[in-house]
Amino acid sequence: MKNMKKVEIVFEAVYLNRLMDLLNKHKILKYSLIRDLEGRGSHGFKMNDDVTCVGSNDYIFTLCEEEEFLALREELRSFIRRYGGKCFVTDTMMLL
Amino acid sequence: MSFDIILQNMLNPPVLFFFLGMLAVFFKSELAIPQPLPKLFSLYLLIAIGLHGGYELSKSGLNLYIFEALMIAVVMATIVPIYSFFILKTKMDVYNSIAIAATYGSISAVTFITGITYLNTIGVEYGGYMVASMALMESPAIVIGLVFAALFIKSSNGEEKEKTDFKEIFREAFLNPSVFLLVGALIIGILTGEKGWHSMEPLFGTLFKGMLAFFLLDMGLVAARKIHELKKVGVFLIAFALIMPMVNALVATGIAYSLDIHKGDAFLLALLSASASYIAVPAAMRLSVPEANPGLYLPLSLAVTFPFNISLGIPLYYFIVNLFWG
Repeated sequence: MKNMKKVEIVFEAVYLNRLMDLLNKHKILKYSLIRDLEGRGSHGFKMNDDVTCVGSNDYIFTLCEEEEFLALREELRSFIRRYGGKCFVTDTMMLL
Repeated sequence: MSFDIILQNMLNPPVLFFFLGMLAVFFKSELAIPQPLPKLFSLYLLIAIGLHGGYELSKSGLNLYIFEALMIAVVMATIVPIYSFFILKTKMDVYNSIAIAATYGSISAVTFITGITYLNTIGVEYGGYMVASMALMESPAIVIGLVFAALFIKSSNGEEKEKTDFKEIFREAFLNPSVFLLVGALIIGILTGEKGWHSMEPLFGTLFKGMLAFFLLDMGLVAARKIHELKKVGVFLIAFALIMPMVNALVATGIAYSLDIHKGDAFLLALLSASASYIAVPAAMRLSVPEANPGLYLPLSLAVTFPFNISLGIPLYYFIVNLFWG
C-alpha cells in the first residue's frame, strides 16, 4: 500500500476551468468531479436550482504524492482565498 | 395607464405560472421542477425564439431600417452599463458598481420572450430581426465591465491588479451557451427559411407558450428563494433595480422614436433595455470581478427587476410606447 494525500475541494462552479488549470500546471491530471452540490455553508443553504451557474458549487477530489501536494499547496491556498471555497487534505493509503 | 393593460399582461398564463412558483415558496409547498428540466426549457426557448427570428429575417431580408434597429440595440447595451456604473459608484465600491452595472447593461431572454407573448396576445406586430437585437445586447455589457475593471480597480487599489484572463472572459462574453445557441438557431432559421420553420413548428411553435409557462414556474421558485437575500441589499439598490429599468426603457423609446422605429419593435427595444441579465453576465462578472458580491447583483436582477418587468414593466413600457406612437 502506498501513502498518498487526498485533496478535496468544494468551489464555485464558475471557477472550474481555473482550478483545472492549476491542477494541470502541477501535473495533477487525474481527479473525480461531482457537479452541482447541494448543502449548507456560510452563505446559507445552496440548492441546485439556479438558472445561473453562479450559485452552484462543484466538488473535486484527487490523490497525489506528498511532494506533488507540497508543490501545489500555496497556489491552492491563494486560489481558495481569492475565489472562496473549502479545501480538505487527508493522509490516505492507496490499495491498488 | 389603464388597469386593463396591466390585467391583460397579468392574466397571461405563463406570467401567472411565475407567480404560482413564487407562492409555492412563500407557502412552503414542496413544489419543485426536477433538475435539469429547467435547463432544458431554457434551451428550448432559445432555439424556438432563434429559429422563428431567423425565419422572419429570411422573409424580410436586411435593410437600412433593420440595421437602425440593431444599432439602437448595440447603443443601448453600451450606454446603459456606462451611466449605471457612474450612478452606482456614488454609493458603492467599484467592484459591486461594475458587476451591477454590467448586469443591468445586458438583457434577459425570458423577459423578451414574455414581451413577445404579450405583443402576440394584443395583436401588435414586431420584426423577427428583434431576436438578433437581443443577441447583440447580451455581450457589450460584459466588455464594458472588463474595461471598467481594468481602468478603475487598478487605480482604486493603487497597486497592480492580478492579470486578467481575457481569453476566458471573452469566451464567456461571446461564446456563452445562450448567445451561442441563440445565434446558431437564428442562422439555422435564416438558412432553412419557411420550409425549415414549418417542419419545426409543431415542437418550437405550437408548444412554445406551454414551455414558457414551465420555465416561468421554475423562475418563480428561484426568484422567491432569492427574496430573503434582499434584506442585505439595502434601499438604494432596490430603488435602483426598480427605477433604472424604467429610465432605460424611456431612453430606448426616445431613441427608437427619433429614428422612426415601428411600435412593436420600439416596445421590444425598450423592454430589452429595461431587462437585466441573470445568466451570462453574473457568470462573467464572477470570473472577472470575484471581489463583487453575487449576493447583491443576482437577487436584484432575479427577485426585483425580473418580476417587476414581466408583471408591471411590460404594460408600463407598452403604455409609454403608446404615448409616443399613439
